[in-house]
Amino acid sequence: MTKWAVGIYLGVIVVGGVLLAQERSAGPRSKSAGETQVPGDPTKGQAIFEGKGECLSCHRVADRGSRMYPDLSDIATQRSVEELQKALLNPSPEVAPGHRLYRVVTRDGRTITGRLLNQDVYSLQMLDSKEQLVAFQKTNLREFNFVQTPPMPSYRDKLSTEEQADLIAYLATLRGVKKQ
Amino acid sequence: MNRRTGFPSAVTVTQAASTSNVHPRWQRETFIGFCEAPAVGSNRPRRFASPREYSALVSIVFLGLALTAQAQSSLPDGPGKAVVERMCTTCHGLNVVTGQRMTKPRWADQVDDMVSRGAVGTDEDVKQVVEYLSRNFGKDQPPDGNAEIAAAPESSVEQSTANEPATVPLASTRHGEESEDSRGPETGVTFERILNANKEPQNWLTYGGTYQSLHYSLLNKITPENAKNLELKWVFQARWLDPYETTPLVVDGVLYTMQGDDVVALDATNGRLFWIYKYTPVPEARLCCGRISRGLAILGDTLYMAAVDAHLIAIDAKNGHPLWDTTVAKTTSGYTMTDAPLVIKNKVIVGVAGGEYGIRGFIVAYDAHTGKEAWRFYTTAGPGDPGADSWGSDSWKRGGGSVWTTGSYDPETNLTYWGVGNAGPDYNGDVRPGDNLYTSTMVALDADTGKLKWHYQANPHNEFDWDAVQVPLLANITWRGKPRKVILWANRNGFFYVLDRTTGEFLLGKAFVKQNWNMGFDKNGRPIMAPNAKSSTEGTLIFPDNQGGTNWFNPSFSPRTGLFYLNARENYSTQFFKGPGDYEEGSRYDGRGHHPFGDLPVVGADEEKYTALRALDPQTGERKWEFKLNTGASLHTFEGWQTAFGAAGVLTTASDVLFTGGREGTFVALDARNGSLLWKVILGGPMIMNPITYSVDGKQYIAINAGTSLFVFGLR
Repeated sequence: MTKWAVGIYLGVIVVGGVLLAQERSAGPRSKSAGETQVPGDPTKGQAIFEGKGECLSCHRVADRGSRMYPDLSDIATQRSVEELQKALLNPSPEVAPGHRLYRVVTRDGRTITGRLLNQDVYSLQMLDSKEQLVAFQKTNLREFNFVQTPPMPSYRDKLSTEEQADLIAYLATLRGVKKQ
Repeated sequence: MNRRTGFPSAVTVTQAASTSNVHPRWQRETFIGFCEAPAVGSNRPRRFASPREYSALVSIVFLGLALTAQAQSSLPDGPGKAVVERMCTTCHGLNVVTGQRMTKPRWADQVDDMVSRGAVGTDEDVKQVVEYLSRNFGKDQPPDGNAEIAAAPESSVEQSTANEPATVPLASTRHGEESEDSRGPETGVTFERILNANKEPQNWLTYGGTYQSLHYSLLNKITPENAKNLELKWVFQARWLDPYETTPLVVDGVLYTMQGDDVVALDATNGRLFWIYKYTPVPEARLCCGRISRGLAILGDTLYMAAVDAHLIAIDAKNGHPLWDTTVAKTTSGYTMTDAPLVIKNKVIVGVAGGEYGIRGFIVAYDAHTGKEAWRFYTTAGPGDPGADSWGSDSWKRGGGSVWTTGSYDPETNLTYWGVGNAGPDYNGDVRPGDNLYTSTMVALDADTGKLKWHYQANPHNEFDWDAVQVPLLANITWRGKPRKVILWANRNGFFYVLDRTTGEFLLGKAFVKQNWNMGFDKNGRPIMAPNAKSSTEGTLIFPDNQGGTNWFNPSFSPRTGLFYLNARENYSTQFFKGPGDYEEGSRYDGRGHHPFGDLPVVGADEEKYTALRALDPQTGERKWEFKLNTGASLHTFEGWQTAFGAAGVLTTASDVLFTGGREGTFVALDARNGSLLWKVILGGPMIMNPITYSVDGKQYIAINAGTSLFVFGLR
């Protein structure tokens, strides 16, 4: 085969690959978990969420659990099933910027860690580790910055396949507050 | 970073660039590095070798001490506590630890996992941590609520050290009935705290300040001598153009208020935002008077909001997330809600508005945790109800009786007192013969069951739109020589009332403005109507006008001066024209007639009309003094009658300072003893909200809405 033919073949492969990728990326959006039929038992999944999985130690659903990390009350409207599975089994090693912990050290040496809610040139507002709303004037602080935040652990080895499915099925029911 | 030991070689911190969603790699910041993974081959360091490592250790020790001080009140005492605090709090809060119950092997796995993620300690440290956690947070240990937690400090007017955020430690007080789930004890604002709100005057825990709704504060930093030194501290500009009638709450340095149906949590010292909850009511909501929200309630860590589309919504006070949403009534039938809810024990109570749309009004209580209905009291008596014979035919079904300001509560009698609005149709009583109970009435309800205990009807069969929703002030006074538990009540009909709040006995009724409809009272307090004091097709001139001698904004009672203070509207009158009373669901149903000069013409020269702050003697109802706030001729008003006829409520303090304002936009401080002007500021917009006071770190603040903003003042 001549080098021209090789070049053409390679060009076709490359172009075809690009076109195929564009077609896939231009395809219909992923369905949220709340819109998908999900195998697994959500009742068992809730028991795992609140028990063996110890998810409430970091997460919050409605009025239960920790406020320090992502609230999952309407997670089914925010993520697809695939995204939930990935977060559960193969979580990102980096914490999303909005979920990082923040630490301040006051001039009298107190250290407060928590979530940064808001800040401006002069002040900052936090939810501290005791889940109290606290605010500081920056002139009264010795230090203030984000700190390394432990990422979510993988549940691949902590839960059986069936338990993982049940947990995903439960998360897929979390569509936020319903009007009653 | 020292790779051998895993300890940082230096501690360097720079200011975070921003809180935007920029990946950390692109931000100018340096990790403190305490949580970085230790060097390969060793995750259990034994000793430090170099001076740099020693200096790092000193930093860690100081930091650990600081964290320990912070964490000390949250962990039970015992061997290993200090190690747990040092190892665990460098990366996360203690709630992640204390919220769990596990077996010892499981704790051992958990601690190993944390070490692999950067928690630093020796083998001995790890062993101590596992022992401590297993002992105190093992599988058989009770939930957090029974752990040893620092008790809430004694309440005091003064806050602690400067710049220390005012926080309340976790409380372990239960309130109300036991819940079926294992929720544990309530934190935040308990029912007991609201009951004893006077013991923490630095806060404003409920709509009326306290359950007695006196709008009297024990704060006394601002005095008649230094009030001239008041200056603006901060402004919150609500993104809202409807009348701004919200009274804020203040809890431990956080101010909660609204803009429309959005809820905001602000730093009470500078108005900066913690969070915002946005709510959009349905477009078919019936709004007689603008999209009004008069305020919130709080219980535990939950806020409650009554939205204008007749939904009651529970919101997490820490993060602004909704918790439940209950449909109270149907908007297409004319129902709406504009009042601030009232929490009593484990219930949240609201009234419904829509009196101009032919509703059947009610007051309803919901379980504060679940939003499920607990009881309901209908304000128009139906078949089988006491007072049912006060309605001809089935007119009770559309009889009005809206409830749109917040009631009061007396824990001694366990009664909650609410004022009920006008009957419907407002100006045509022919279609609703009878006294029309319980419209234009004060009702006293059992707070647990909603059962009616007594009532006093200020205007039977009223045709002048005289809602009786004015707030009942509960005072214990010496009434004509004897101690008495009374309600002090200034009504839209132009009369000041004193009622016995245990029995409802009528003690006094005295006009505080010009009036021509009342010729006295019988022995039970029923008004004796003047001849022809009724709406008519040819028009009947009545003083006061349909907006009343006063309206919904709060009066105040000062136990120090013994005076009752209200904003009174003098020389206002209306010609009441009667029109047809045809009902159609969801449509305006007020029975007003039509006149070439306007449907409800207000007659008389503008310059003769005015609004004034008046001080009354509760023993007699006599006026002691007045201070003019608005003139009838002023151009300083926004469009819409709500702001045209309104005024601010009244606030008094233990240092004899009184604050109020009016539609002309001038906010004043007066000497509560004699009405002399101490200070004023022109804010440029009408004030139709109740001023409040609070303090943070020992500094007293005064808050008032004017126009579309919340202004907060304090001493220079």
